[in-house]
Amino acid sequence: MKKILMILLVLMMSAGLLTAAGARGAADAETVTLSVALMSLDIPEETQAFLDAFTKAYPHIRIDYVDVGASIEEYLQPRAAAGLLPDFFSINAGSFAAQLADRGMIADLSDTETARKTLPSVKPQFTSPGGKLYGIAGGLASSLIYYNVDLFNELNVKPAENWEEFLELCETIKRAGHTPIIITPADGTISNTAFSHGFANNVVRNNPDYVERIWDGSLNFNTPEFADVYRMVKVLYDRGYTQPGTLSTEYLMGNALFLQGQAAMHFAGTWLAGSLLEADFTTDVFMAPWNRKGEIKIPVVATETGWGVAEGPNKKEAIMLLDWLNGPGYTMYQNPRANIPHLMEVEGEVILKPQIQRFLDDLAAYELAAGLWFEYLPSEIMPLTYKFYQEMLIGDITPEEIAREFDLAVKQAVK
Amino acid sequence: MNSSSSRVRLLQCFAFCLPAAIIIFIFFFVPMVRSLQLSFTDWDGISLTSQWVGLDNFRTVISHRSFNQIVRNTIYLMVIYIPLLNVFALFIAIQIYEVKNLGNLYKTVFFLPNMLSMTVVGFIWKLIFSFHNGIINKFFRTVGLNALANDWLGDPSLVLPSMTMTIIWYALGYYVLIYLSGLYNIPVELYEATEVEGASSRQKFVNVTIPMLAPAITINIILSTIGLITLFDLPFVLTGGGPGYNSQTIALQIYYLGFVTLQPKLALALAVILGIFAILIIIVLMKILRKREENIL
Repeated sequence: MKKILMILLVLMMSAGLLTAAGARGAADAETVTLSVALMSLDIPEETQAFLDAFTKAYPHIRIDYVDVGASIEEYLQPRAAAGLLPDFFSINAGSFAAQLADRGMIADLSDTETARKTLPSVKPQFTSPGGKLYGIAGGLASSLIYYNVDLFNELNVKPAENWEEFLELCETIKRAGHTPIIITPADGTISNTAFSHGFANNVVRNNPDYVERIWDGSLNFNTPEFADVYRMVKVLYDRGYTQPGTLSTEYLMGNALFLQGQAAMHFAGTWLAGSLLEADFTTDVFMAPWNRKGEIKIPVVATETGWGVAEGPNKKEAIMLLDWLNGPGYTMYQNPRANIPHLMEVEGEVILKPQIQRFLDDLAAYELAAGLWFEYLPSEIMPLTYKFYQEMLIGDITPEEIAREFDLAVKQAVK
Repeated sequence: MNSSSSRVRLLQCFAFCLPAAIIIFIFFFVPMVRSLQLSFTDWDGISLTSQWVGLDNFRTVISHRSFNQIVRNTIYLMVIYIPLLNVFALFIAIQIYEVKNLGNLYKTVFFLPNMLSMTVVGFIWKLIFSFHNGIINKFFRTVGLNALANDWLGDPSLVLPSMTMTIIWYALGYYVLIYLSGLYNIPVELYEATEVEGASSRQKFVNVTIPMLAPAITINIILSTIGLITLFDLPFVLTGGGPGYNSQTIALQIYYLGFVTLQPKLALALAVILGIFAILIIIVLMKILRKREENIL
């Protein structure tokens, strides 16, 4: 009798366990966990807030979120190699992502609600050679010179119109005992500013078909004009126009120094308008005068880092997040940054700073514009751009040597 | 023991080793062989196929301008870091050994940094060394020694010494413990005998302590050399290898080639070079140190 009771007890316990496991399985089938990897260096709290809001709107979707830091490609490459891309991730327009899309790793977003609302002008940059829309731009972006209006008024100076005037402006500010400009060569962000504007004004000016020519290997980088892309920063550094500790100044530190009033100007992206134009002193922006006297400026306008979705079991839910972020959740993402929107239809009231609106209005006057560096350089070359700045500033390499090496490296990469 | 029982015993040994052997085979041996194989191909890091390119990747890696700088950095760190670390560790171990009462407190204090991850250590020291807000520069500015407030991580002549200091701060406690265990194993009678013969403290140190610590010295030198050759996380967080390539280590360059410039074929070639370099260095060191141990003992 005892034996029978024991067997019955074991059977009951087993049945109970199986039922519990089954119930849990059913619950798991309803709940989806999305792996989300976003570049949210500037807006960490806001990113967490909009992801929380999404989870609240869709309680059956959990978010496993990670901040990828400053380099998306660095984060995605090993995961792509292992076939473990996150479900939803930040992505830049460029060759790396296009390659993943054409290999079937990134979903085509052409048929999504977000794609329908996105400005047609920011789609080609995120379209692969195979015709897939592999990403949605997070906005339109440029880099501008932010400046301390109060200090400019005090010194009775005004924004420069060309490179020569800019050097004079820096000299005046330096003589008055202030640091003229902040640059950030310790990480890749100098490529968004000095490199992109130098390339636009020195190379794109005479090579409007630069993208095609880079990729067919016919664009010659070994020229005095390209060497000037680097030399211009060397001039600023050698003359003491940049902040003390320039070589170890990274992106976040550069922004903090400007907001602390430690320099008259800061070369930074429009995606920082929400913070840099809200300093304790009056701030404004002007287009980087990287053009020589007598030349018109070549402005830089590009797609901003956007979002991609992996081909995988959670694609549907990842697209829901994309549509939510570009729908009801858009203002949570856009307004703290106050960058240039990429959508034709927006839910809610969008903040766009008047200074940035003025820049957008001014753009209409220019016939030629260039992209940001990551849109046109091969992915192998991208990290070289800022390493070369560092090497040049410490005297390990000259601008002419950079031009020679850059040319070789690009030709090798596109071969 | 008869032959069948010895066979059973052998089988038992194999059975016990098998799980570890399988793990080592799958997670160490297979990737190692595969890396070696791919280092001779044009693999792009994603494709399932690749073409044989012979020694091209090795030539590209070695001929790159940064290669000499990276090797120089590694040699600098080996020449400065390994002796400094071992001298400091031995000195502190002897002090703790002699203090006795507060020994455990000191051991904990020195070992504390070792309980942090190298990444955390990197972030802590990045703040300390910061030109603008770092505590070192703030101190110098506060006491009016502005000229001493340097760009510790941005000046090519200061970046490696700064990094060396950080690694020593981090690793010291671990090496102190190894030396301490060596010191505790030295029979007290040896010291008593030398005292009877009127030996001075210096003579006791040179003729008893050092010879008896020879195995600990060997272990510490080998461990610190391996740690240094494969150093990655600290320079990655602290300097990113900059300015330029002035604090780039070989391991960091492998990462840089593999995941930043997205050229895994070159990363694998450099990893093979690093592997050969590490094995050679360790063999040479082992031979020298073992010979020294044999001579002493």
